[in-house]
Amino acid sequence: MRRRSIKRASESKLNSEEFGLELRLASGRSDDHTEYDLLHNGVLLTQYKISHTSHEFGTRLMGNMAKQLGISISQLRGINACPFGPKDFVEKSRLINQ
Amino acid sequence: MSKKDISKAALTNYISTQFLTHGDSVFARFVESGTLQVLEMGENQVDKASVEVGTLGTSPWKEITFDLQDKLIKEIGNLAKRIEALENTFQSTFFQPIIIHDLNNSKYQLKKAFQTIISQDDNGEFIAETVDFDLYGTGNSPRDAIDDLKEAITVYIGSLTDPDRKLSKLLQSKLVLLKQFVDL
Repeated sequence: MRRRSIKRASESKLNSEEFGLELRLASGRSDDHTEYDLLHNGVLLTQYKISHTSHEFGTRLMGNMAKQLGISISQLRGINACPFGPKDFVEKSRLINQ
Repeated sequence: MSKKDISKAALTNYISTQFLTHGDSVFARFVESGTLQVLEMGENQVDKASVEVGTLGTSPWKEITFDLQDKLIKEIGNLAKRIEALENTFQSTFFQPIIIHDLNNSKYQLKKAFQTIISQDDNGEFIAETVDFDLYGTGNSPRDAIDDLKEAITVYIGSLTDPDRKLSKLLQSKLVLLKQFVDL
């Protein structure tokens, strides 16, 4: 999965006023921003990192990213492709439903 | 005779399946959950079919075992390849435990070291991840990955200790844990 596309898709799908999701750049990083704070209804859920060192993400890295969001790798791929939207995230993420 | 709708899933009972050729078609039958199932087989796959058993004629059902053997041999070959690929991945994967004693940041002093694991992704990139928190760093070398992880931990501390931030229950428990590691 390409970095640029997952970054764009995450910033788009994990920001939804309708479903109370907000993805903000985390403050405090000195270099290129790679960490995001993900909030749901104003409550901080997790810190989500999109690595900046590689253009193409490997399976292990994808696993780390999915774990941060409380979803599976296939659901993370769904964020990158079309099927997995903010509604799905709110319904499926373990960060919200556990 | 009644019609039977057959699903592909039924073929899991291959071993005890009997086959019948009828014209250009091949039919298979087997017992599943106490019910006789009949299905029509295409050239390379089993198609969903509605089979009029009465149209199959009087030809006796028989074992066409070579079809089954060919498929099993092919499947075993595929499994062997997958096992070999997994073994190669495992052997080439680099795992190393590393302890982080400081964050290279004068603002935060560690009370307890972070246990981390360094591994290598399938694209060659190194990943350092913490055992106790869902944090990771990446880099072209283990050292770069550790440095990136230290930055990630620093940003994480900043987010969790921001007084204006409401934390989820999970992050509240992570903050309690974090205070065992960092002098906050």
